[in-house]
Parts: sequence; structure tokens; C-alpha cells
Amino acid sequence: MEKFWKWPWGLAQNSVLLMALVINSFIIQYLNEGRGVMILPFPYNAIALFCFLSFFIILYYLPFTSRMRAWIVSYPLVITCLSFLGILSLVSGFFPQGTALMLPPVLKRLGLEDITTSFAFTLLSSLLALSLLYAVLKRAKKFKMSDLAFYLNHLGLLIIILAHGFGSSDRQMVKLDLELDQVAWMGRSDEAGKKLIEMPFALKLKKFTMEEYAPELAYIDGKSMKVLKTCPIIDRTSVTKYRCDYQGHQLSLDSFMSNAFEVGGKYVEVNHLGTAPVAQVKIQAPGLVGNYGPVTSGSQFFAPRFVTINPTLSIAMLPAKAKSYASDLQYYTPEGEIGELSISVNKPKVLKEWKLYQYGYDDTMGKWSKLSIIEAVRDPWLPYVYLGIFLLLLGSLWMLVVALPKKSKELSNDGTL
Amino acid sequence: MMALYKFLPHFSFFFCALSAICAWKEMKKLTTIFLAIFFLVMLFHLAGLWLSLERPPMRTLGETRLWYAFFLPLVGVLLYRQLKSPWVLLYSQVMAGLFLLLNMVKPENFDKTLMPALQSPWFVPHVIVYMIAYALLGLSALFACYQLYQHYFRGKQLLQADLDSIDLYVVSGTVLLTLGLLFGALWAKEAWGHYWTWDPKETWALITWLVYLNYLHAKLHQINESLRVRRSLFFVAIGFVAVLLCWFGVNYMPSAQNSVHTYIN
Repeated sequence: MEKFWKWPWGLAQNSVLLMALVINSFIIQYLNEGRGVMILPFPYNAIALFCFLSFFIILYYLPFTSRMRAWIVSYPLVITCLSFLGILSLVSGFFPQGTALMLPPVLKRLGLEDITTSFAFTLLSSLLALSLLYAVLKRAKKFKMSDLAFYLNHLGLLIIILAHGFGSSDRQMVKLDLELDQVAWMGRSDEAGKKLIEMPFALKLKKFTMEEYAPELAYIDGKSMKVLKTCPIIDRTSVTKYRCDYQGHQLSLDSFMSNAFEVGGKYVEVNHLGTAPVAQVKIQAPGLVGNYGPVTSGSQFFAPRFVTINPTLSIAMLPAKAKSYASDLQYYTPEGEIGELSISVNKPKVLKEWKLYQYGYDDTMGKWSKLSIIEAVRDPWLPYVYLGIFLLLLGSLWMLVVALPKKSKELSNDGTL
Repeated sequence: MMALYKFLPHFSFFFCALSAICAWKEMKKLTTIFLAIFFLVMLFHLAGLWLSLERPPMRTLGETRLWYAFFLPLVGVLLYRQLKSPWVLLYSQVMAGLFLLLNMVKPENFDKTLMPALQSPWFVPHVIVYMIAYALLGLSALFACYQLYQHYFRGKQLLQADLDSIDLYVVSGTVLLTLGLLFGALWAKEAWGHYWTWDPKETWALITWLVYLNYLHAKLHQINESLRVRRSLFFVAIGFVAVLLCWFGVNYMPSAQNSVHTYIN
């Protein structure tokens, strides 16, 4: 035993040590009724971060910690730590997280349904952060320009881990359901309990607009409703040229209406709430007579309609896919400020420390939706995470543009390339 | 015009196969000519798709396979210049051909739709960077497996030089993985409100990254040369298994039902 733990520790010793730590972490979590690590909100998390950094930085400069320092930055520890983090991440890679549907109670109590807040994951992340911190401190003693990528990468990752971890308790994500012309100032929290949160502003939905792609037709199995072949989207300019073949069947179009309404079994084009696209299709196949008729995906006011070729083959129209959707909003603040905002997917706007995202709408109404769901996100630690990302990006680019071409040149000078 | 696109994978595959055969027979000039034609056809194919679909052809798995089939032989040429071994060209062409074959056997419906979240300036750099990284890491993994086979079944002693020959490519691939991961995080913040949501695809991208970070550290560990090289080669080989799981495998896992990356199905 004594021989096994002989210094310096290799992969075997570090694996045994980390395995013991991970097992103990899971036991603690089990005894803690499955509750994981709780990070307290500001200012407690900032104080905890300050204590963490100052404690370990002071420890680093104390003379009797040389062996600990050497262990923390040793390659076997880094390799083991990264491997264990990878293995724990595998849990969330295989099982849906937070749903609590699939896992038996024992595994739930071990924290496997929310692995990233588990004691084991937190411990390993902290160990990795510590290793990054000590690696930077060690290298900083003898600063070399050639080590620039090393500093940028390690410092960047360290900042990301710390800001993401310690800042998680201050991150708020809430959803606001905005009805047309109604003012709302309460948001639904995503966290357990779905509590309501009063926002520092009120929002009124003035207009919701949505652009859809033209719909797709499809050959489907009439019994299982499974899509057998998806046809291209219907381009209005080339309706007469539209063709879609499947197993000897030729599908073509007679006419197409983007906004149609069912009136007495017939479809008429009208621009009104509850319309849906309708295509008059024709199917030709050897030995097949008279297969034609209207096909529509239907709306909340009338049912979908198929053309049946045989009991197992029908033509259906798939629901149109969204191309873009946006909300025109009016906002009000307690200070009496009134203004307007336009939000769409990928184009969020900032209002009083909150970033507002176009999240969703009433799926059943599609482009006629009178509801817009806005997600408001507040993350005071985001600038620090971005700083870390920026450093890591810079480090990676430096490697790609300067360090690696230089290395390649050296290799070619050696005659290797 | 669409009929032409339909057969472009066949043309590409044809020239891919021809250059592979010529590489195998060590006919340098013909290999170069067929490779050049292959790249031209592929470029024409990708540009044509981009124009006709009115969106970057990077949404579906089949579309990403096309980019992979384009970048893989490109990396193969670079690696060939270093290793001077025709097998590199052969394997890169065979792998590219395999991916093209998959697209020919299972043709996809190319449609113009692009969900709003994907309509972002981050889309193209995110996918391209990942595809180049996958090509670099794919060929490196193949080489690592070859070296490990030589060691375990042919009794070859593994030396530092065996690792050095692919190190540049693995490191470049890892750097590009880092860029892809960060581009994805910055994009996710704009599209979904958070830079990291532990989406299954993100998780697998992280696992892949961790394996290659392990490689970067394992190769520096001052131990017995053969053991160090063997360990590093193992990380390169395992890393590509993670890449494949992240790229394709994750769609078949139970966790994928909640993924925001399901548009690639």
C-alpha cells in the first residue's frame, strides 16, 4: 500500500483518489435527499469566490505547500480530472436532464437527473479550476511571450468556469406571456416551482408578425400517419411545374391557395384569421384513375384533408414551417419612461439589465397568434463569462495563426514535412 | 438544374474513387488531376446548392456530410505532404467516398426552409470550423489506430516521431473544436438566451473537447516514451469515437428528444 502511494502520483493513484472523492460525493448527495450544491445569490457568491481565490492564492505562496502545488498542476491529475468530468458529463449525454421521468428513485436521489449541480461535478469542476489557477500562477513566475497562448487559454477557461459556476444563482430566466394589446409585468420563472416574478418594467404586445415558408406536401402511410416521402415546398410561381414522385406515383398541382377558408365543403381564398394553405393535387400512376382533390394541413377552424391513393398511401400537407416571427412591443418603466421595441429570433433587445428574447407564440394559431411569449434573461456575471470566452478565443486564434504555423515551419526545417 | 445536383454526388464519388485508385497505385500525376477535378465538382456542387437553396447548405446531417467529404481529402493532401505515404490519400479518399456514398444511397430532400434560430451570422463559421476540425481529427484518428495496430499486433516500438507526425493536425483540430464550441456558445446566447444549456449535443461536444484536452496534456507528461506515445494515440483514437457520437450518435440517444439541435434529423 505504502509503495502504491509513493510520490509522485501517476494516473493510477490519481484515479483511485478521485474515484474515492466522487463516491463520497454521491454518498453525501444521497444522504442529502438528492439535493445538490446550492450557490447563494449575490453578495454571498461574490464573497465565496473572493474567499476561494484568496485562500488558494495565499496557500500557493506558502513554503510548506510545494508538494500540493506540484500535485495540483501535475499532468496525471489534470488527465484524471478531465476524464472524470467527461464521464460525469456522459450521464447527461445519455439521459434527459431535469425531467425526472426515466430515472429510478435511487438514481434520482444520487443526483443523476441534474448532474451539473451534483456534489461530484462541483468538486471536480473546482479541482479543475484550482489546477488552472495554479498552472497560471506557476507559469507567471517566469513570463515568456512564447507562452502567450498558454496564459490566454488557461486564464480564459478559469474565468469561464468560475463566473459560470459562482454566478449561476444570480442568473434569472423568466417568460412573459403577452396577449395582444394587454399589458403584462409578471414573468414565470423557469426554476422549480414556476414562481411569478415582478419585472422592473411592463410590456404591451402591439403586434405579432410571422412569416411562414410555403407548405410541403408529403406521401404518408394513411394508417400509421408516418411520412414516407417529403416533397419540396410549393413555390407559388411554379405551381404548374410542381412534381413529386414516389414509387411510380406522380404528384402534380392544379392550383394552390396560401390563405384559404372552408365554406360549405369548398375552399375560397381569403386573408382572414384561421385560414390555411390548400393545394389541389393530382396523382397519376399506372392503373390509377381519378385521384385528385384538395389537400390541406387545416387550421383551428377546419380539419386537415388528405387525398387517399390506397389504404396505406395518402397525400398530406405538412404544417407550414416558420420563416421568421417578431413582436412589436411597447414598454413602460416605474420611472415613467415609455418606449417601443421590436424583437425577433436571434435579435434580442436589452431593457433595464434584462435581455428580451422572442421565445414563442401560440402554436395552434400559427401566424394568426395573438399571443407572444417573450423570455427575459438577467445574468449579471455574463460580462465575466464573455471575458473568459474572449481570452480563450484569442488564445485559440493565436495558436492557429502564430504558434501552429511556426511549429509547422520548424518541422519542415527539420526535414519532417 | 436540380437533376444535375442530384447526380453531382455521383460525379464527385467517381473522381474520388479514381483518385483513390491512382493513389493506391502510386500514380502521382493522375492522382493530382483526379483530385483537382474532384475538388472542382465538389465546389460546384456546394456553391450550386447554396445558391439554389437560398441558404447555407449546412442544416441537415447529409449536408454536413458533403462538407466533410470536401474537407477530408483536403486534409489528406496536407497530411500526405508531411508523411509522404500514399495510404493517407487513399484513406482520406475512401472515407470521403464513403460519406458521398451515404448521400447517394439515402438522398435527402433539399428544402429551402431554415428555422429562425439558424438564421444567424454564426451559422456558417460554427459549422465550417467544426467540419474542418472533424476532418483533421478523423484522419489523425485513423493514423493513431494504424500506429496502435502496428504496436500491438506487429510488435513495433512506438516512438516520439510517430506522435509528432500527426501532432500538428490533432492540435489544429482541437483548436478548431474550441473555436466551434465558443462560436456555438456566443450564438446560443443570442438565439436561446443562454450560452450553455447542457443540450445533449453541447454535452457531447464538451465530452469530445475534454478527450482532446486530455491528449494535449498526455503528450507532455514526462514518462516512458513508448507509454506516453501509446497513451496519446489512444486519446486521439477515442476522441474520434466521441466526435462520431456527437455528430451522428446523439440523435439516436434518449436525451436527444429535448435537444435544440434536432433540426439536423
